[in-house]
Amino acid sequence: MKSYSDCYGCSLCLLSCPVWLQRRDVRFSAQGYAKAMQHGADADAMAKVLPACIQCGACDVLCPEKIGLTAWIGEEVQKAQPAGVVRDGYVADCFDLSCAPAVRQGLRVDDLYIIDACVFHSNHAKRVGHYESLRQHTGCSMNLDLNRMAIPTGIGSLSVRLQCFDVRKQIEWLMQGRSVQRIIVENPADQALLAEMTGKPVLHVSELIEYELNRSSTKDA
Amino acid sequence: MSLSEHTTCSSLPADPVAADALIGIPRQQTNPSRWQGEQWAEFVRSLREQGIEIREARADTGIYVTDAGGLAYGMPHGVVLARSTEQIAALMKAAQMFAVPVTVRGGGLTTEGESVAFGGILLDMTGMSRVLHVDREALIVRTQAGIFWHLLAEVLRRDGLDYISAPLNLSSSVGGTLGVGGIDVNSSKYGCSADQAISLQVVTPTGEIVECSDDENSELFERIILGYGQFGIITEASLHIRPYTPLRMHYFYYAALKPCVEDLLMLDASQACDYTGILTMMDSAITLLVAFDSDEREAEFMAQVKPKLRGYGELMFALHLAVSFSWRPWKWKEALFLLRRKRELFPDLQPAQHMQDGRMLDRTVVFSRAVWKHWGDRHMVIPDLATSRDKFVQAVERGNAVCRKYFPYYTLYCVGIRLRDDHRAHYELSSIPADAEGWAYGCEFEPMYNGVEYSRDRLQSFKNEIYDVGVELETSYYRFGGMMKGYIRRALGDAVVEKHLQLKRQADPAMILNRDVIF
Repeated sequence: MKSYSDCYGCSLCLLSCPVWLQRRDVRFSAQGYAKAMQHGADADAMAKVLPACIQCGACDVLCPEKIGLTAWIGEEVQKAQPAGVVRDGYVADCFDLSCAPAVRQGLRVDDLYIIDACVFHSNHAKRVGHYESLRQHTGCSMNLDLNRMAIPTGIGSLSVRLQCFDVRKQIEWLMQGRSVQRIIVENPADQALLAEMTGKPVLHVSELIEYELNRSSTKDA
Repeated sequence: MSLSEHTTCSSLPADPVAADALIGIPRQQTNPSRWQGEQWAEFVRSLREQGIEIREARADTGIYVTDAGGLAYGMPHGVVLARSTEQIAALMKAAQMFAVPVTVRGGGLTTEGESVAFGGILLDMTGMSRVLHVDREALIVRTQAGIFWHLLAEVLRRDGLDYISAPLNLSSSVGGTLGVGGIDVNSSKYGCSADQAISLQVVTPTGEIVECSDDENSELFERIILGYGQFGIITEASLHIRPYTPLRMHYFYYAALKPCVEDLLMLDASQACDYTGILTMMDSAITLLVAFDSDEREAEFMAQVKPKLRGYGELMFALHLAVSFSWRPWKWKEALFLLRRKRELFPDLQPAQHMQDGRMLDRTVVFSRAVWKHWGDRHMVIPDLATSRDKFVQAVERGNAVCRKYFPYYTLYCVGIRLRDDHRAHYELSSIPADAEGWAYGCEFEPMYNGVEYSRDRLQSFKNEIYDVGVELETSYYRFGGMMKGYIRRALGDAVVEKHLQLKRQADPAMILNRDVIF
């Protein structure tokens, strides 16, 4: 089992780290956490930086040493919080829904499909091919970066509740340069703020399926 | 006995401790003496009074303890995270006043400790890594210089644009690359990354903020581009960019280095390809990579140039190797290695999520991830040579012989670099050899560890032996700027080095900026 002491500072984890992208400060990245620990950072020092992590899991996929820092960070953050702060809630895995034929039929070129980052990254090797194929087949946009990591919204994370991560700034980055008419999300928690900030209809993937099935049955009738 | 008498009867040079007297001494420049911290407290006080944060905790300075080479270790007294040009200007003014060394770091992808601070200040430029403006009509981007090329590509792709050429390494920074060159598999067409710079905002070693280009403050521009960070800190850069295109890739396979290198030279001269390069699995299994930005270019190549290549297709090469190995059982271990290597490597050179209709969508990501996964290790040991066309075959073959001596498995990566006549002055103290005309050629030599642990001494000795080849061939080195201080006088000659040393003394009176890298 590899630990933070195996990090040798390649910086690959920075490239898809939403927290580093906001702060541009290596201390706020998996590499920064690992390097600080290697050089004797105590609990107080770590408590200043760890809560910023939204635990999206992209660094676990990108790390060539396969260190798996997200679980460790989660434990440490939880330990450092005062009693009463609730851990991040369980997010339903919508992968099966995304595989429904109705999704492939219903997605359009001017749609933005937002994959739930945490669930995706923890199953990245098995799922990245499916989403890339879905994107190429339908021509829709996705929240995939050049590394094929999902750009998370961060909405609902403990980090946001602790006011360590700016969700609005993150959504601005997510939407930058994109011209979309409709947004489809896997995580229902994303819907309200995305609708407010973009002014576009935001559907949960299950609603897209329902819409598409209704449309098909109406067409058949 | 006088020193001169001693020199005549031994192999020692005239001055055994001069900068040019390091032949045969391994590990030079990996742990130069640490700066002792004179006036540190006053310096820190001065900066803090100006509102500049300095991080001195070991947990903060330890982040920068080594570079990608992993052979040099050093700790700064303090770290400044770059946040604005004005902040850097104030830092440099104070550093001159108190004679505090400043080491500038972007991605930290140096290999001989050039971005490691042995005391003094480590200036982390990644804090200034935002794209400032994209001109879609003129195809120019203005960006802060601490940005990783990967992140620049990420931003440009939202507009259907791309950078022109950049190192095949995800975490190289723009500023660091412009200071050393930067090569890509399309450098034979477009030149090195540094040649894509139109203008730069620079903080001089004495803290002035200056905009420079070929037309404005051109002498400073000449010194900054490919200047190894000696004459200023690049804070912003305007770069040429281009519309994004996926690649149409083809691979040709060779059983010997020489015909493959000769074919690379021929292809570049013909200008029939948009991308070319050589990547070896072993020196008996060499891949010539060619790629195109358009179907038209690809079709033209297939009809007119491909028949001239001496390489095989994949199937024919497999048959050729099978026949070659079948009657040489002592080479079967090598054959098994090649088979395993092919099985592991080839899928990663065309991963489904980065391919569409047979075209590669993100060349930098694909190649860089393959490099991190299949080559190198914790120590990025990649000594390199850069030569003129005429010397390139010899340089590759001699470097290959050094690799064979040190490691059972290794790889070579070769590319051409198109030179710009109007940038001759930029190249003077750089990776571009003085005798190169039209193109320079670079070859990197990289051991594959294959689970074996090599000592730091062995790795450094290997690097030095490659550099010695460069000195003997009277050529240069490229990309990461491997040789640096220990070799630069022997490689480029006293006259060139002295000229630039005088310029350095004028520009940086306290000699504090990126010291010990070259001078």
